[in-house]
Amino acid sequence: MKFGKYVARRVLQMIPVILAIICICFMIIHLAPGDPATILAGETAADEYIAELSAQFGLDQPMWKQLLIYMKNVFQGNLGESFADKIPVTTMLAERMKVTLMLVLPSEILAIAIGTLLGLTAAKRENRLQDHLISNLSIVLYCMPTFWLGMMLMLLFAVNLKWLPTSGMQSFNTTLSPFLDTLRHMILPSVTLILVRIPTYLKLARSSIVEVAQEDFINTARAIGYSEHVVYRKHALRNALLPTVTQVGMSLSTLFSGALLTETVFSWPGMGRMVYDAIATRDYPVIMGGFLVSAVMVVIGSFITDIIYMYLDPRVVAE
Amino acid sequence: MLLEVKNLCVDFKVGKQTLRAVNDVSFSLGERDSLGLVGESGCGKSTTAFALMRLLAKNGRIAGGQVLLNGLDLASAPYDEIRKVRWKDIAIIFQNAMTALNPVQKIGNQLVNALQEHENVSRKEAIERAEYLFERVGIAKSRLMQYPHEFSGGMKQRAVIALALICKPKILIADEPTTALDVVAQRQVIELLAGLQDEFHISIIMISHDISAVAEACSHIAVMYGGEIMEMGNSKDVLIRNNHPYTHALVGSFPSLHKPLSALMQIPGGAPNLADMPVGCPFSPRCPYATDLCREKKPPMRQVRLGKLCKCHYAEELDFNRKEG
Repeated sequence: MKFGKYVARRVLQMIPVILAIICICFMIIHLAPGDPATILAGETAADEYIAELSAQFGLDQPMWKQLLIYMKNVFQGNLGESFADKIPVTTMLAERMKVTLMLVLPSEILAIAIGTLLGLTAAKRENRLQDHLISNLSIVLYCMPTFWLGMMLMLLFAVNLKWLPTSGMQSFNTTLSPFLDTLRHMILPSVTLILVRIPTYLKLARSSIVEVAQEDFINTARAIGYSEHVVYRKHALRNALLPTVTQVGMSLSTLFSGALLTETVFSWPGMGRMVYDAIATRDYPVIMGGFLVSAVMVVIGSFITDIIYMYLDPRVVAE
Repeated sequence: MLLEVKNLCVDFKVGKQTLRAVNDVSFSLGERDSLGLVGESGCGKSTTAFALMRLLAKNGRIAGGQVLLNGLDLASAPYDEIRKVRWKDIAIIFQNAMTALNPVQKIGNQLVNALQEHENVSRKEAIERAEYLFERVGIAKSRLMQYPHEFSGGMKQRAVIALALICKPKILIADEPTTALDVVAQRQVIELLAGLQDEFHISIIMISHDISAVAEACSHIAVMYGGEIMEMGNSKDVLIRNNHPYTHALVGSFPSLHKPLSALMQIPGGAPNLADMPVGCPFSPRCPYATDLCREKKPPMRQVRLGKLCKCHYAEELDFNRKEG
């Protein structure tokens, strides 16, 4: 009962947050220089044609009116139509989201698992050789620009060694089944994403476990005679997971908005690419759609985080 | 003897220095004995207790001596042997009961898991035993499967005691078991421990800075200063007939219930700096009776009379008999 009430309250709280996000995104995008009608019409277009396009997209209206119309449509489940492709934005989002999730979700899960386990190993061997190796490696990874890492992997494994395809999602001429072919295309962007995301989870887990390991109940666990393995896995880790959960909740938005850089480097046709292309052509409805999805995901992510908190730490419910 | 500690030394590495936190400590503990370790903060009493269970911090190590438990030397035994001894033979109640329990695990499960770590018992049997102990320490057994944050401070202290007894240890170390409690609860915990000692036939090592509380609860007392035992004997003898000026000062620094209120004694100076210990007696810089001999030569531990050991050059002369005033 208490739980149901809590969920209901949180859901209601989300509404004004999302409204505010829509307003802010809408204004920022319209403030950006460049006009979609001019870009679509091309450099040599006549002024009459540009004016006609503007009227067609409703861009000749004052901004507050455009915003109200957009809001009304959003609440009817209509995110508008792409200026460039003339396809409903919802259709585009659904399709792109699937492609992005396919790449980002498994990568993120692997990054969390590998990062946390490496963090645990480093914490167990605090200030010893293993810890220094792992911690320095994570700093190197953290400092590496995503696009550079992606390009280097591509250069090595796709261009020089020719083990894997350079980019895209599918090859035209292949003997592999579509599933295996896509999997092959996924490897390089996935590895890039995993390597880039590992340091965050590694550092979080390490510092959090080192801190928890100094608490009294860890001494109790040792005094009881549990092995170091049990002391860390069963007693320290669960108490140390809260910051990681927070981070996962926050990165849920990047799950949906897509890893823009990685998708661009590997021409992965996901949300990130879509938003990137839309920005280049000032395709307002598509940009708004992409922003909206990632904003809603941040809100939902923090909500899910709170629910997991309750499961991990019984004290949260009491408060 | 159940437990014999011989010339135990513990070193800590701090930066490039090696500090001796426990120096040449020897004592023994028989079955159903109780020994109180008393002294100021930083005198090495907790470190001694932790060393018995090999629970020293990462930078600490046993630098010498033996800890014999039924013939097994805990000071040198391999770690896996130590793990078997922990909780099964020696259990400990840590100083801070408020944080000694895992906050995200039900207390009942913490008891059950500890028992199952050492004994091959079913979960049902383990729960029954945990329930019995809960009732024995005065907590309703219906609260067994609750989390630590649902318990009050006094209840947590009791739960910690129940946890310490779950494997029926032979020796129980109680590290300042009453420090975090109010006076009434302190009394209850001391009485509870005494009752449990009779019921479970355990030997207790109690660590405290409160010499009078320890004198009530324990049959023997060892007074520690600067990592060394200064005076040791049966409780009454140590409390009433002090042979060491430090014991004398320590007893005098607590208010008495039975005598008219008078100014409490205080010991000038602070606890000794382990990095800069005096050549002679460690207490000599603060001792009102110290002579050149004390400052130059370390006094050996010697028997002053039957059952009373003291580390002072002038133990016989400084026979402070409190009854005579």
